[in-house]
Amino acid sequence: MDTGGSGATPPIAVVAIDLRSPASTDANVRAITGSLRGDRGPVDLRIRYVDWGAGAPRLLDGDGDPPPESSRGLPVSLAVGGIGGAASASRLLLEEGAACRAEAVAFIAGEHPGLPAGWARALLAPIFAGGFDFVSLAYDRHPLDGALNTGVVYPFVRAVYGAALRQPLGGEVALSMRFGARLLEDPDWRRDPASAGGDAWLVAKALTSGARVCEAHLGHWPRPPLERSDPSEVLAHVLGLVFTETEREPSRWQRVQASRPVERYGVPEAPAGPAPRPDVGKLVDALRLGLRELTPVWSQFVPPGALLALQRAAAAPAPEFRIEDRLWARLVFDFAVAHSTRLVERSQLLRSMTPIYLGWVASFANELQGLAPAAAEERVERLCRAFEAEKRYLVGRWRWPESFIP
Amino acid sequence: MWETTRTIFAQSLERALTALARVAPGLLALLVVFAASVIAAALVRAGLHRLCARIGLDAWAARWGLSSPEAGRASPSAVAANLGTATVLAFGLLLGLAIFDAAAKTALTTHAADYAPHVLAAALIFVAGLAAARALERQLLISAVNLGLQSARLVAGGARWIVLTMATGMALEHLGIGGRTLPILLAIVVGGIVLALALAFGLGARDAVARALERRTGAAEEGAKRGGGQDVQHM
Repeated sequence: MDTGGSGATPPIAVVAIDLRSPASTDANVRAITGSLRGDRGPVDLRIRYVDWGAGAPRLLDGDGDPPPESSRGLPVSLAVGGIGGAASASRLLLEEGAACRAEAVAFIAGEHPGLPAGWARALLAPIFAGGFDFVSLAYDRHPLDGALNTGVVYPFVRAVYGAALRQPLGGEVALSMRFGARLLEDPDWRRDPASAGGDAWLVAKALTSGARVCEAHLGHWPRPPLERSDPSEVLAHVLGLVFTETEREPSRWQRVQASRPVERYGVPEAPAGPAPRPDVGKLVDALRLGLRELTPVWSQFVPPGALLALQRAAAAPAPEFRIEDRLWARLVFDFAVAHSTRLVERSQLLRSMTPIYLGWVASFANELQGLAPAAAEERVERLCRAFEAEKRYLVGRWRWPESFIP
Repeated sequence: MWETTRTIFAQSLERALTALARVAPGLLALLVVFAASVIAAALVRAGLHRLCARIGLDAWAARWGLSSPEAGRASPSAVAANLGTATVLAFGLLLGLAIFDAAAKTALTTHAADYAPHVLAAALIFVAGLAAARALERQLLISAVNLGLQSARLVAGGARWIVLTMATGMALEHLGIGGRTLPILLAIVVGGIVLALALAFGLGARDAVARALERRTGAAEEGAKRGGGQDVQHM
């Protein structure tokens, strides 16, 4: 790897292995640590562990043994979709990077059962060789494996900020300390400590501050055992992070007209293993129940036409059930605007979105059935273009929310 | 005869005028106090309206599902303003009556003055119970729908009525109405609602419980191996 450093003193990078997931077993963490040490190349790689056992994160030195397994892991609702939050681990890492005079810092998940050769170099190469400030990590996954990312987070972030980052809230990221130093000065750490440092915050900062952003494809994601997560809990947590960021400096993202491709390191490949096959009938039933019971809540911020279209769609038999991309994009934007205007209490609002989201999963599963991976990706691309086309609707509603209230 | 009649008439008139002269200042004071209380009530009403608008009470209540955004005259700020106005007017009337007959307070004013704090506390308990019942109803409705309970509305409505019944019982107890009969009656009503809810939940949640058991026993994985029926990985 061309580090760009002078021969005598290798550049320093601090990599923090995040132990928040219960899948961060001792064996996994030791394997990751070994891979990183063996793959450091000409970089002075310093390994740290982010231990969440005490509730608030602690950054532990990687020279000793990793912390005991019993102290690891967070509830699924906190473990998914975000670095940090109220007690941000990213600030600890940035401060550590500044203290070590590092040129780059990175967060990686402790769930990997070891890392393939060249992984660490691929992670840091965009910063050392490409001069990038923010490296978003992406893995080869089927569109329905991470359905919330495919259906909401990816198209929403892409339409709003204009950058096609495939998995923006993966919880893994690499940053240049040039950008990191700017982040450390950011007043949000004081003004909004609940959001500052989360990966939605990092992505939004990178995309609105002129930082050089790229994406590194790092191969197949070794799928961890299926988490028994409550979708409404995940939805409320993840979308809460994403929607909150759109409230920061809306004038910036409202000026973005279209998405631009971001530079990619590595080549995306077809995901390994069979595509997920959710029970479509059950998902459509969830939407029908929601339409029956939650329409009075939704009608406070969703236009009647959209609710009618949803009702018509739900009347179809489950195998033929479809939600149009345009309708889905508008519904997501309606919830984002309602989140911003606080028309309904935020947690209730996002949880009430669950039946509509499950309906969309059913519709998308129907559409992807039998499609080859490339065709499935093309279908995701069409969905993103629909979100971009409907951005005018989001901007209009955002600026004049009252005029759209039915 | 005529002289006697004239004397009696004059004495009666004198007594009536004397009584009127004795009452007139009190009556005047009553009218003045009541007029002042009307002005104070108008000021309190305007002040409450402004305060509620400043703190965004209606929007806050709508956000938590305590009232609908189109509540109009039944909006929380209108209710607060009406309650404030009625309270000031009632106190003004009681004060006027007390001044009207300061020497010997009537049983009504004494009783009313003692009773007023209970009425106020009961009203506050009832309003708080109403608000809590509505907030709980929406929260439970959303949770029950997300759990896939077909009887979601029944569960949420039942919870609302339990809270409302308890608040009503507490308010009536503060007012001293009903004695021992009321708690017994309320316990029967609440017990009935809980039983009905338990039955509704039990019947409605059969599928959810079956799914949970399936997961525990690994039957879901078996189903997934057979094809279809997998849970979705959301993130």
